[in-house]
Amino acid sequence: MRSLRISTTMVLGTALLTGCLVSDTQVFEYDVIRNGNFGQPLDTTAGFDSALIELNRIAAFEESQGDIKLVDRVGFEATIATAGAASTVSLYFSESPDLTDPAQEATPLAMDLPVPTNGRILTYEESEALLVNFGPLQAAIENGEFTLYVVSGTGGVQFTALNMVVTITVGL
Amino acid sequence: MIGRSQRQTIAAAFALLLGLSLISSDVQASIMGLARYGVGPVGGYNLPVGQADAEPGTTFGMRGRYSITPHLIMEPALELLRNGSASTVTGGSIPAPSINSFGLNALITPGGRSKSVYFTLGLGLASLDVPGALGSSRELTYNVGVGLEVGVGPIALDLSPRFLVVRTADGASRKHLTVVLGANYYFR
Repeated sequence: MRSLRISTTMVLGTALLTGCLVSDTQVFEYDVIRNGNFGQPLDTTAGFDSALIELNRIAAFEESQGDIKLVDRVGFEATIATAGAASTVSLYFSESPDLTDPAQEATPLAMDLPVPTNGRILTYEESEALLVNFGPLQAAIENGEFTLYVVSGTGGVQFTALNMVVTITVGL
Repeated sequence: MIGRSQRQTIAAAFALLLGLSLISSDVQASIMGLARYGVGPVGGYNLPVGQADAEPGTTFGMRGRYSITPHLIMEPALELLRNGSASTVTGGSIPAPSINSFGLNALITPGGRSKSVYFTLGLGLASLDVPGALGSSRELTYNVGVGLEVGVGPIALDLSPRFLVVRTADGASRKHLTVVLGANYYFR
């Protein structure tokens, strides 16, 4: 009886451990300008601009998508220019690609990032600290497709480079 | 990845400890064979396994030893794992998660306390800090490994490679291979 208990414990322990052991944490990068906006900068002169994020276009992500156990991290790298005046910019996301007022209709992602007159570079590390609503973003990333909206204050800004970096843990 | 020079350093450390174990068995028996309690610092290398957002780094901490029987030693251990940042395609930096782990390990010494080779299994809790939105969380840990301990003067040097699993979600984990050198002082 004692050996049966020990064996059962060992089997359960091994199963639990094996479930953990076969996971892999992977990093994917998505060039938002090239893949989501036909190579054109995101321009908020008219108030906002948007780009489709299709993570499924990354073959390795598509292969892993069904086995995602955890969306660990999301960050952005961006080069932002102004039209000559200082401004602010906010990021939103939504499953809908056709919103007319994303500041009201979409989910906030990073708010009121200051952009000085001569523009700025946003690093991955800075962007990670700015993110809000990470739970809904995790769900959108597991889904593999959503729309990213950039909304500026007065003056308008241009994202001349925007790289989205997603870290997921995949169970096999 | 472990570089060639790092592999050579680890191999040299193993060879040195094996040599010491052969020439110092009497000293060692007098330290570990009679002692019941021990404590000491550890430090070394850690290699993240299957983690694209972390590069190799360091491990350091403290371990204690309490001998239950000649073949079983319990080891409470506090270890801090720090890793290097990964890079993005554009050269940006992805800061690595950090782990502070507290565990209780069972050291099995097939030859009894006076022998230097042991196997280890352990359970514990870790504070896992993933930079960004996920933040800090408390997670269950497992570890398994082997070790070699040899008496050198009033202390025992301990070299132990171990595989640490930090459970992060259902069916998901962060894994590290650690190789640490410890210096244990045993109380008589």
